[in-house]
Amino acid sequence: MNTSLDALQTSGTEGTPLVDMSWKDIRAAWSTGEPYHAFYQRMLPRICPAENLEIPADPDNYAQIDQQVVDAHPGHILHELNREEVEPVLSASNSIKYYPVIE
Amino acid sequence: MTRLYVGLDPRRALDAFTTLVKELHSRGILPGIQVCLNLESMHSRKISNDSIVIYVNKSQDRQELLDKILAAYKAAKRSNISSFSLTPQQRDALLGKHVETYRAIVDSNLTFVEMASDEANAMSWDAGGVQLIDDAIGMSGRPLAERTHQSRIQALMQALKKRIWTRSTSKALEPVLRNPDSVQEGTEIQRISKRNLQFPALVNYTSDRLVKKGGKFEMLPSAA
Repeated sequence: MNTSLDALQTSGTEGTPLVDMSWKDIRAAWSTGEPYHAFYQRMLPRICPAENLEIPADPDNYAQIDQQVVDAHPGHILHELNREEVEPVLSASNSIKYYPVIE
Repeated sequence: MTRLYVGLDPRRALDAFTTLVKELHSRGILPGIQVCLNLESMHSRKISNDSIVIYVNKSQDRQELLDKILAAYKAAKRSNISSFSLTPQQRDALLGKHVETYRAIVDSNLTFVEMASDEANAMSWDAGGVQLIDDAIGMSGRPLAERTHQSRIQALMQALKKRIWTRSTSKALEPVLRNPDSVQEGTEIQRISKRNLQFPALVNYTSDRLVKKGGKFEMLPSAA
């Protein structure tokens, strides 16, 4: 198990700070000997099976997308969106004014 | 060359790009690199793993430059985290794209690959590097329906010990293979870069060596 790689994979996700590694350390973490297929295998449970999900135009549609994933892959763990966390942010698109803030 | 990719929700890509460029500018890094916003990815409403691409061509001080870029990226992400944020589904979809295109992951948004400067005739990573690797593991000739994550893993396992010769490497080797006596210690051919399937995103620039043993050529693995 490559702990440096594990730290990288969760870096910056919910409740996890960005890892403080130099580029040298990051590169070293990727060349410690774990074959790529083993890394790939470890990642497989976390890869979203519905890779080509289209981004909903309306954040309310996130629930709909969630349901599609649940229906297709009952074992997939979903993060439940907290509607109270939704806050306005500036965007390049005028049609989208609200995003769910996850991190 | 090192290529860095930032995967983003296309609706937030412009905001994230602006924040990142400001950070890179404030640290004086911009003159030494190229930073691109991928408009094609913004056109689509699907999550993209190459919304922003950073090219680092400098061979000297590469490490130092990459550390500075990393610091700027972290600062940009901290200061405007909503632009870099992903839903869990988007993050998992990005992860799938990262591993499928043999990239080294730094965090949920940032990945990188290393390329020999003229690798794959300077095509993009997806057009050149991924194609080389897929060719090496026999994935490129298979029907799309068979190119699943599991079949890709099986193919990688079977081909683990292979090295992926770039087109430039093969071209440089041709005259040597025709005339083996022309290979000498310390020549350019020994310094030719190549890619190993065990670390597909990384290029070993200097430490692998092609040597002649008993009239045959053999690639010695890196000492590192």
